[in-house]
Amino acid sequence: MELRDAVYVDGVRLPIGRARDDGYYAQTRADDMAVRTIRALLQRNAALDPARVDDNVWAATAQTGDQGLTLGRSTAVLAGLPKSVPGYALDRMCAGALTAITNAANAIRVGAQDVVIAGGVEHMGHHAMGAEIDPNPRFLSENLVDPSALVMGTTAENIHDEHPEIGRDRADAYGLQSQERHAKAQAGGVFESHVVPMTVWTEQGWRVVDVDEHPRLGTSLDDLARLKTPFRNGGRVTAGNAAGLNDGAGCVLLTSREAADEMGLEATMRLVDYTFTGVEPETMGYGPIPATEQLLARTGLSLDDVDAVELNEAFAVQVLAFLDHFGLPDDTAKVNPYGGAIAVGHPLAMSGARMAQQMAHRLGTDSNARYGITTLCVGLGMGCAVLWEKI
Amino acid sequence: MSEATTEFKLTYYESPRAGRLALLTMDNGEDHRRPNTFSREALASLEGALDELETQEDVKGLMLVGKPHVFAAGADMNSFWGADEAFARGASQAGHGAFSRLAALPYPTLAAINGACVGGGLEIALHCDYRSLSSAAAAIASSEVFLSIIPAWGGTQLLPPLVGAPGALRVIVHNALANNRMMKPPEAVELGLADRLIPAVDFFDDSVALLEGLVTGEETIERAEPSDVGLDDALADARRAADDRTHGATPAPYVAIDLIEFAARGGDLAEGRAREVAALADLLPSRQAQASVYSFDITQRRVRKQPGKPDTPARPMTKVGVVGAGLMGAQLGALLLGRTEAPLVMKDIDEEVLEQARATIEGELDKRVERGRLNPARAGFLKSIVTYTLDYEPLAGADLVLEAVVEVADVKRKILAEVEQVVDAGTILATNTSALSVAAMAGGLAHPERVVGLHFFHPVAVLPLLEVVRAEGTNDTTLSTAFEVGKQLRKSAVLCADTPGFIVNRLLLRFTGACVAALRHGNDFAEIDDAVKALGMPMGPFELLGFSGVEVALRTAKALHDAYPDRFEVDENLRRIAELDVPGIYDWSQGRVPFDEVREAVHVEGGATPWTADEIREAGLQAVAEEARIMLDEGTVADARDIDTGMLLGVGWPFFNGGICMYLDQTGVSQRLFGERLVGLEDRGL
Repeated sequence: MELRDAVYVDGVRLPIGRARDDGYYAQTRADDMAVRTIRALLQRNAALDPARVDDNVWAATAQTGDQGLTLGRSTAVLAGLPKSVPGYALDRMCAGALTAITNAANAIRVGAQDVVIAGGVEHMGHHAMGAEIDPNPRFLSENLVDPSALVMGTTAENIHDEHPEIGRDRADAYGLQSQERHAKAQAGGVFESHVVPMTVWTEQGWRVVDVDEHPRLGTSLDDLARLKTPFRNGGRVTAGNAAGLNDGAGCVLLTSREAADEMGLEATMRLVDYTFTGVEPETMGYGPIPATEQLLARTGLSLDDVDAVELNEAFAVQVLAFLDHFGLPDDTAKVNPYGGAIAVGHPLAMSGARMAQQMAHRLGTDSNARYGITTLCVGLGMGCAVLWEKI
Repeated sequence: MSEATTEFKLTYYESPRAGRLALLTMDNGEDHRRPNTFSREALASLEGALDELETQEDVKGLMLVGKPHVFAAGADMNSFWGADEAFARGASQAGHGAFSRLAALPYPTLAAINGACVGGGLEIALHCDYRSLSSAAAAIASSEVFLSIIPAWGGTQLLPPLVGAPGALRVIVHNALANNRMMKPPEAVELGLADRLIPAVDFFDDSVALLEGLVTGEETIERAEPSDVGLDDALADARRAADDRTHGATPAPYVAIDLIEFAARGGDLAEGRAREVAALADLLPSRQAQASVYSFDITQRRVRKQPGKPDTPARPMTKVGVVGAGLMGAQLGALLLGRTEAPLVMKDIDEEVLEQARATIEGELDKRVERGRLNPARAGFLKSIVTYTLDYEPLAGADLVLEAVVEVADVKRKILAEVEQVVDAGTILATNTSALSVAAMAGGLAHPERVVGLHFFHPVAVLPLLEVVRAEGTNDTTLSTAFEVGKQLRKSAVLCADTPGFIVNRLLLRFTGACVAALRHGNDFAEIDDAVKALGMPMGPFELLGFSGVEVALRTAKALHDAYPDRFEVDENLRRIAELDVPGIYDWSQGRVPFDEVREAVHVEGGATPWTADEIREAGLQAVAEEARIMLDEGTVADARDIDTGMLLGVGWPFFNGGICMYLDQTGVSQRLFGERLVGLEDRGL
């Protein structure tokens, strides 16, 4: 069967907030955040007839409370999409939005759907990581996973153990680089292409938030060196070389190439292929390595053919292991030139949407670029990688 | 009861497009059920925010906005009770001062009306340069005249230049007089009150974007220039509406019209503001405004708490029945079905009457479908759960059976006994009698404790009052269920004892009795009606008789005469008119002219001299005062506020008289007759 092209038309996200009582979104519902991005996407793409949206796919890791009620359908209704537009919710933890994107793309590629909104939202302030789950005792009693596998910071310490060449110093230096790159991209207006402000309710009244809240401007290596290692005494993983706890929402508009042409929507890139794979849960951070290897093997490309990589920075050590594996220097411009989750934050299921948006910006603004990969590690030992090609 | 102070909170947004924008949020820290209000402290908070804003040199625009779901509901009504002239003057001046500073800010200001916007809330919005309005804003109104005051924070002066005098009169006068009618957002935008209607889902973000555009010049607001054409007609119309609704008995609407006229004829704004201050200083301490605050409190707050309802759990309504499917029964059936959505049994002895009832009940549902208020499929379901029957058996399993048969005690007693044969021991049996003894009806039942009076007012769908009548044997479950049914039917329930005529009919009849007596003193019908209407009553007694039926009035008069022969007479003139075959008193095809037969039926006592209008009113009021006093003494009601609630909601006696007891207190009638007030001192304020 001949597959059609699924193309990326546009994407928007909110500025990422800190998951704290005084964070941007402390008093804002997660579903309202998702709805804001859907509305902004529709407003930016006025040529899109909302009735032509065939599906609204939303990822969230926690799917209760303000992230419950089948987010894809509930946010479609809340966003005022015609009642004929269906939706669903899915979960693959940190790869939530990327899974929403590959699912949406597949429906388009096989010709079942033409226009799909795919997004991710996570309000970690309302849904503390792990707080709403009840892990099966068999994981541990039957040694199905190492006890360290359920605490993400410990899985990162485990990678440090296996890679003595990646020490705290390298991890901190990478963390600082992420901050600096994000700050530079912010100043250079990179995020203006896809970050939309939101007017949020706070104790101080209504407030407009339009800039990511998480980055720490002016952080130095000395500052980073003083941070505690909460996951292990004498360990290496700190708040400075790991992603934060954050609130965020973002979504993208995918269509068939035909539908985009018909409606006069401009597409930036097409989704070529993707892989999901599993690794040992206690070193889940390796996930992007086999996922990317498999993706390259499937498509007959090498990483040299790939001009842009957006790699989620759950932990600096896991990024550095990836760079070492592919023989890239720590400061390669190919990977995360706008910084990553260490600086901007990582609202779990939402991050894939942000990465796709940054990929679109990179491929759209770099005239020499052709291929790009967005890749993530996922809790309980998974990796995913998505290959994009500029149109 | 003191309300949380509304604070004016400032945040700033460094807009990449427009520069530094100020967001000024009104927030009293409570949820949406307690709206933002403007007390003196709130205005001081606004002044504080303005102090800060006036020192900021780089602010390029300001958005004024409410807390979630509420913009602002205007002045703090709690402070109105007992307000003197100095307080009123000060309050008005404080608002003018603070709002004028807001208006004077040297950059574009946008009121983002995100929710309920009433009274002073609307006035502060009018002091901004522009207004955006959320599609979900529940209520937009200028309610002051409804409370016998005027908008005194610039409303009467700023609205006419914005929307034209006819529009301003509509909002400030006509809507307020039409029972405080609220506007929906599209209407407010069409009128020109707001510049943009924004879908609720986008409201805050798009309002900010609108302000950015207004600052940068990318957005412009086009407004139609209000024209002076028709100004005189509009003013005359408004004065006529005030006459029709209040008969000159409260000055507020006329004062508001004068102020609007001043602004519409190009009056100076500063002078207009001064006139508002002076007008409020006159009006707020006035009897009418004070009574309005009381009326508002007892009908909007107190009655909703259902004073007198026992704590006992109510019996849920899973099936209901009406016995007697005539005019009243059919209306009650339609109401029960529409509100409880429980299976309904309509029982009568006449197949034709049942068919009529079906037409009424199904017609009500069809009307709701036509208005888009009810899904047609659901209407079909509701029609399908009504049983029209000549038999008692289908009533089996009902939780409530309401009888609405002919007003004859023996018939009612017999029917309740027959109903008791088919229902279970806990089924509530309610009677819609308007004057008969509920206990007498319950006598002879196996379970008299389940009988209660539920006296609705005609037309049932419109009038909000429900008299809940507790007979001596009525138990708490029955009473509690009666109140709960009242709530489900969205009626305001007032508890009264099982005394003839209950509250409203008894007082009304006492009043009418005095008026009817004037006929034999030689007064004519219109003269008597006019004398009564000058009190502000919506209708004169004879106009009302034409509406509710002379025969019904005579029957009630007889029932009350039997109970209280000293105070309720069966007037011979009334009896003779009731025997005529004419519809009411007046032949309206001639204007307000009595039918010849009616006029001829009146016998004037030899040598009598007609009463003056004052004497007519005095006779009526004294009769009512006496009766109210007796009702309180004998425990027909627990509280004079119950009487006032009844008169306000049952027969539409005016807010500005506080029902009637408050009026009798305010005008000194109570003190003269009884040496004390009827309404307890501690009960009058909020």
